[in-house]
Amino acid sequence: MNKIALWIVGLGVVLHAHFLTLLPSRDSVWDKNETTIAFDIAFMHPFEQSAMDMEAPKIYLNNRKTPLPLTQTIKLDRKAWRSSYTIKTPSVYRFFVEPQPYFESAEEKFIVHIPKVIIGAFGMQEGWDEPIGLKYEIVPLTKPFGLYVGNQFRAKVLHDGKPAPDVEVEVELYNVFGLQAPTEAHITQIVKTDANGIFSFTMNHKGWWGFAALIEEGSLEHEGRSYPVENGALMWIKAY
Amino acid sequence: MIRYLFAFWLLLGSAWAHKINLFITQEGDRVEIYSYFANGNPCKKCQLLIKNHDKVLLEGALNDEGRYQYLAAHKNLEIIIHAEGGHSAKEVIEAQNLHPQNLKSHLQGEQNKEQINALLGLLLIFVIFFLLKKIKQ
Repeated sequence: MNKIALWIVGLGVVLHAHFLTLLPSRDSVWDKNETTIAFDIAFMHPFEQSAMDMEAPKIYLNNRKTPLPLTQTIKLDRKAWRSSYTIKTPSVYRFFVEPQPYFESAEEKFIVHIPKVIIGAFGMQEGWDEPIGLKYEIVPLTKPFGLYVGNQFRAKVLHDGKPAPDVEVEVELYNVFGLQAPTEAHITQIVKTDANGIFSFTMNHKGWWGFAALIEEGSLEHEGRSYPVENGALMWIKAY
Repeated sequence: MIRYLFAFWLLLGSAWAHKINLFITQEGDRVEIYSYFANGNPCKKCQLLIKNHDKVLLEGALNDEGRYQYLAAHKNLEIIIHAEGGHSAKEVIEAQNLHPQNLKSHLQGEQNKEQINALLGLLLIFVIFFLLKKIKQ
């Protein structure tokens, strides 16, 4: 009986998608008096608003040259991180986070999600569709800032710089609205990439939406055993 | 009716696509003016108008990078950019560190800068020809 109960709990965890959140305080900058962007970085189930402890990641702007400063914080009662960046010139800014691998014992695998978020500043709209050059990456085909509810978001998933066909992309709303899903199946939406690595999704609610293209590749050691790695190319966009 | 609305929407979209942006910063007594389109292209040689209330302080043009440096002698400045096709951008700022310079000397300074740039260009051309001649010999 206990085994069955544990199995049910385990299944419950499997059903809920993990997302590494990289949420900026705004997705575009227009006001010269509000140019500092704060970032919330946490590892969680965004629709259900429950989190896991997260070890210190690294956050970068455009490339891996210089990580931005981090401070530890608490998010949903779990260890999380904050960072900030002050924008000085008109441009399109592409931020991304590299976390430490997270061992998920219930699923017997490591999770390495690399989220990115793109911020437009002072009307500049050039470069949001260019890849950063990450091993696993979502490259938007829809301008990723200044979106409305009901907009269709299209993007391409790249694996080693090439389009990744037939990849599952999990989608969740960062549910700070207290929404209740009609069933468990409604929590995580899933779309798949086509032969050109392209997927699309229509956002039906305001707020931040997370997209996680999941590619299982490679392995890592944990207590003398080798486990597969779930690599996630993540992207966060906001619908108004 | 729907056709007209669609045409209006297309026109609006097109106008936005050509929207010019104006980004003004102040470094010391210099007002740095930068104007650009959404695609990142600079507003080259676009018409620049600087006013203090209704008084025109400067009528000039941005350079090829869509930039202009202005030494502010008045606190309240209205900066207006006009591009071709009737597109324009405007911003009102309060200059922080005023420069005790009149328009005449400011324009003289700008002219001097242009003359220096022209001289440097000529010098560069001369150096290139000189080097090419040397190589041929």
